[in-house]
Amino acid sequence: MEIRTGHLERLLWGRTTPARACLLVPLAVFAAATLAALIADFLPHANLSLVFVVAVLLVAGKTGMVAALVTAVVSFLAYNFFFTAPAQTLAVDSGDDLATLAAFLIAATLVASLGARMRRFVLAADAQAVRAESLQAFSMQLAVASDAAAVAEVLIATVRATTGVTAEVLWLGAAPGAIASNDAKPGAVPAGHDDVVLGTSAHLFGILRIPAQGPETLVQVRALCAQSAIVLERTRLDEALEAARVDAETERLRSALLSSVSHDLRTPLVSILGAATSLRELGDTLAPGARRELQEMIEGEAERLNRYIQNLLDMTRLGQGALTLVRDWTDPDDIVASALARLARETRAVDLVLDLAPRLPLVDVHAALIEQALVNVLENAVRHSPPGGRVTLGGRSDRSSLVLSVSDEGPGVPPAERERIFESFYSVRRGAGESEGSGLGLAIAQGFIGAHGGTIAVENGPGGRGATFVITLPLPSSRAQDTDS
Amino acid sequence: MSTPARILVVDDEATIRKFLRISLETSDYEVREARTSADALAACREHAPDLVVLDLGLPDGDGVDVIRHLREWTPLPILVLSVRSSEAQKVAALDAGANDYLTKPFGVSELMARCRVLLRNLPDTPDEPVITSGCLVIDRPLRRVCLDGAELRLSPKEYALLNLLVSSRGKIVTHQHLLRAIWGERHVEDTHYLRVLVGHLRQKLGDDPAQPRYIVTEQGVGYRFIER
Repeated sequence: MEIRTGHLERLLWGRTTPARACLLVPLAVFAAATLAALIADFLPHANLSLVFVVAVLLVAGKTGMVAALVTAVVSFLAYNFFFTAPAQTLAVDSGDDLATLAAFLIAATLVASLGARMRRFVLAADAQAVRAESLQAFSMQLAVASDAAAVAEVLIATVRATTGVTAEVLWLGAAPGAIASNDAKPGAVPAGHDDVVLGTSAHLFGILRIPAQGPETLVQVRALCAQSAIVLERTRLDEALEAARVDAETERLRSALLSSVSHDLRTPLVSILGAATSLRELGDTLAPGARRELQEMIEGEAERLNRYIQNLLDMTRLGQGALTLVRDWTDPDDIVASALARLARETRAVDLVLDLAPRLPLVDVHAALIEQALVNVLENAVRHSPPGGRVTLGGRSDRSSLVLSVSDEGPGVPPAERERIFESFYSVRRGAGESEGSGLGLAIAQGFIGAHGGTIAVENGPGGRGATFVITLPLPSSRAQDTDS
Repeated sequence: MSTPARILVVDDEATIRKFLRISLETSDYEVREARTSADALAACREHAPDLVVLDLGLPDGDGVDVIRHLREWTPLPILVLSVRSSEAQKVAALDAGANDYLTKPFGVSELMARCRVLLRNLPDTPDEPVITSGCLVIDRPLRRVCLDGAELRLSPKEYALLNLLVSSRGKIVTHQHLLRAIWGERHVEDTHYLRVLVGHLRQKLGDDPAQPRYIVTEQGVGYRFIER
């Protein structure tokens, strides 16, 4: 709410400096005397005292009690001197004039004191309005202050605006929001300064140091500090909350990584150790077929372990952004061939079908990374295939891109999960007997394909059965066009 | 044994099931496989195995739930396999009624030894009057314990502890079980009582805690008496 002071009131009650007050007293009396002289011919001189009363009232309104009383006395003397008989003397002849003078003196004194009181009230109301206004602006600025530094800035500006004092914020210990701490030492207040605590019952943030002030200003500054402290507390809690959220996210990733490492590193090891000790302990009692199975198991699981470790390393490289592409012109058929060679053991369990268009165009890629991406996608398809299920590896191209696709007859990927399966450690756990992947393979595939400016997506498999992963790599001509446009 | 003992292997990893099958069959056990909790419960109902080798991490639920389910109607011995080295997990499995556990990875000889112990004495045989293990002779009717022919003076609690461990020799006995049996229900959490008592007993048995001959500590879970 804003209080607007009218022009007349402003004239009556506006602020005046002491120097101007000294000037105002003789001026007011002179003006009153002149006016009284001008109208003396038309009015009985007893009534002229009213003109002087108005002068006293004006001075009281403009300045204060003392000046008003001085005006009253001077007016009394002037009135006595100029207008009561005998004129030009301070002597008073008639009893009437004496009574008029006495009444005038009493009235002038009363008016002086009343006027001065009214002036005080108006000034107080004025100041209140200004304070309310600045407090409102203060709280609005605080409301949008996002960190401790912004809060301090608003506080200092508001203290200056409301009290005219230049304040300084000293943070205690580690300042919130990583402000360079200038190490406040409470108790060591420099001479001529006041310290106001900036803190809530929960937390002490620092102090506001101001040049020594009267108690009224101190109360005001304390109120501002209290309000700022609440906002500081809020920003502190906000920061703590955000930190906790980040921590929780990091923790979630860490525990996902740990459980992945625990499961995916140890499971092949369990088989390797079990098979190796079986071979040693059971020795000759093993049937020849069983012996070969155990030996193959050791090989296969060691390869699986190697692939997993490779995945972890790749993930680390992707995570650190340390991936540099060594591009070279490569035949897509070669990539497919080496990916299939690496997965020869795994793909035995499924019906693998190749559907590659003849004469696929050369691609300018880092072949090892595209091969790894393809291996991961193929391994994922094999893992989710029913025994003997068909896995189709397709390859085709159009003018702008090379498209490799891997389809399986597994349970497919629900639309809601089609984005998330490319996140690290997101493994879809499905029905009975589904072996769990590390949750890294597809994330790595996406990382490597993405590094080449390509995309990978999953859709329904052929005939709506299973899943089809589609890898799209831009062909050089389209890349050139992209850079041209 | 005239008919081979039937062992049910429950694990979601095909390769682990495979090597377990090969090594157990080579040792003349009859092996059945299950991949999930549901398969495991169905196989137990239909084929009445003599022993279940159970992985705790199954795709359709926690192995501990399988143990609880089985314990509602059968005392058949359960050997738990777990990649989780957390003691709490082992204790939970043993509390639920598992008879022993093996932490992955493990050697096949360890597995065979555990299977033999679990299959041999079903149920526990506390009615064996005199038990001999190496140089140690425990005469239970007389409450006499002799080491190398010399009689040992054991306090009643020490004797109770030895007797409990020997009754389940080769198998793990949990802290909680021992505390409940020796000190009573109110002291099942006071494992330090047990540490002190085991220390005294080992001293009298001439057992070096760092290389125990008789009483092996299963860290965080319990103790095991080794047959010699």
